[in-house]
Amino acid sequence: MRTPENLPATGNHVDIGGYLAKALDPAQTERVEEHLAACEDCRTEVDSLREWADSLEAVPDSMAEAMLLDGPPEGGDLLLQRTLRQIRTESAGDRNRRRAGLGVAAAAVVAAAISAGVAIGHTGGHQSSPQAEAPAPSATASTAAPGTRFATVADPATGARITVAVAPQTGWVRVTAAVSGIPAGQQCQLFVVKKDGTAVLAGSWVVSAKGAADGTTLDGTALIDPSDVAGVRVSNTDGKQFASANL
Amino acid sequence: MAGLRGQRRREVADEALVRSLFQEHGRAMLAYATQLTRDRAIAEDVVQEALLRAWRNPDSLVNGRGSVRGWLLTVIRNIVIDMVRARNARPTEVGESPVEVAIERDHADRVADSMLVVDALGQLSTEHREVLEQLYLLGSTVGEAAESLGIPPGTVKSRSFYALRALRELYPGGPARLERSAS
Repeated sequence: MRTPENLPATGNHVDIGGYLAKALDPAQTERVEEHLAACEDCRTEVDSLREWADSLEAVPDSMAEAMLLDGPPEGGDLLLQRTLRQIRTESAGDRNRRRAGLGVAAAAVVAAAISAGVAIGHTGGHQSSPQAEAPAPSATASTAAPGTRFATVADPATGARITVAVAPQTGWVRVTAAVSGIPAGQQCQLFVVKKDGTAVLAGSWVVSAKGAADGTTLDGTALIDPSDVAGVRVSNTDGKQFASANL
Repeated sequence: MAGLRGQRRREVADEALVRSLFQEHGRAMLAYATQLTRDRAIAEDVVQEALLRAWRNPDSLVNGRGSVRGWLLTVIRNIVIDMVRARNARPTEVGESPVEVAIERDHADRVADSMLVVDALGQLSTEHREVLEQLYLLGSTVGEAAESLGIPPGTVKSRSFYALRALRELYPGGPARLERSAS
């Protein structure tokens, strides 16, 4: 915290913080208002800050409360099961969702990895990966790490598409990426890019025939402070960039 | 091309998306839906539908303006409005329901503006965000905020002052500009 908490919140004039929070008694309020009438700097300050205070106060209570709640609902297990059943029914009946499905799967795989806190695995490989059969995280799995950031990017020039999640750790990040649309045989690298433009390698793989068709899911880590992460990039070992996502 | 195995894997992954949204935002979603509908059973149906929409459109969820939470709450509001409209199309029902009153209060523009302001709040440090949540979102007094945050009242006042300044620094155009530029 770089703000000096113990200084009076006043510039050096009057208690503007208390005034905006409507926490002053009538005598104090009068003193502030007298000062404001005479001091243009403080008046401008109060007016511009009050805009923010007002817009925060204007948030409907129903939303304000909802914005502050985290976690799953109490007694919501049946609701979740019901929703999952409907998804299974819909996806079983739908064979035309093939293309969209890839995108769905990519985003979901990323969310799953973060949500369950498990490695989905480096699908550098051949043959159907056993991790594809991994059970979905149970309803009691831990929630996504707070501060996890997601992005999806399709590069129209290369046809590549990446969906990434970057989860902050202490001083470094865990990155999960679903990559599709890159031809088989390409030797690829996944980079996490810092705000100053330098990149840190988070993983590398070769695109299999299956990976070219269905996409590849990767897990990696990078020694970059979470606050310093600007984005994620996929390129081949020759330096050709397939896609890059800003976070 | 996908084959049965691919199909299966996709289903597992799709379910995982819904599970993780539910784990992280389920409580907020259900609380908001219950606020709007005043009925837990109807609210659960609304949350279910919102999760299905997220599953069908993961791209809009990830790429949408603002937060995932904001996207989900906006979807919830839209679903409740559709429900009210559908019911009003049936001639047998009469009278104004609590749902309509709640929806009216959560006018569309206000909801959109609120999302942006709340997202802006999310950019602040935890200390700054918490004190503004207490004072302005929840409408606590300085004394109540001080107690709930475990800091002296004087710190609540000064911290809220610096927090408002931090918001202004992040968005020099002010909240009005924030709303205009995004709509």
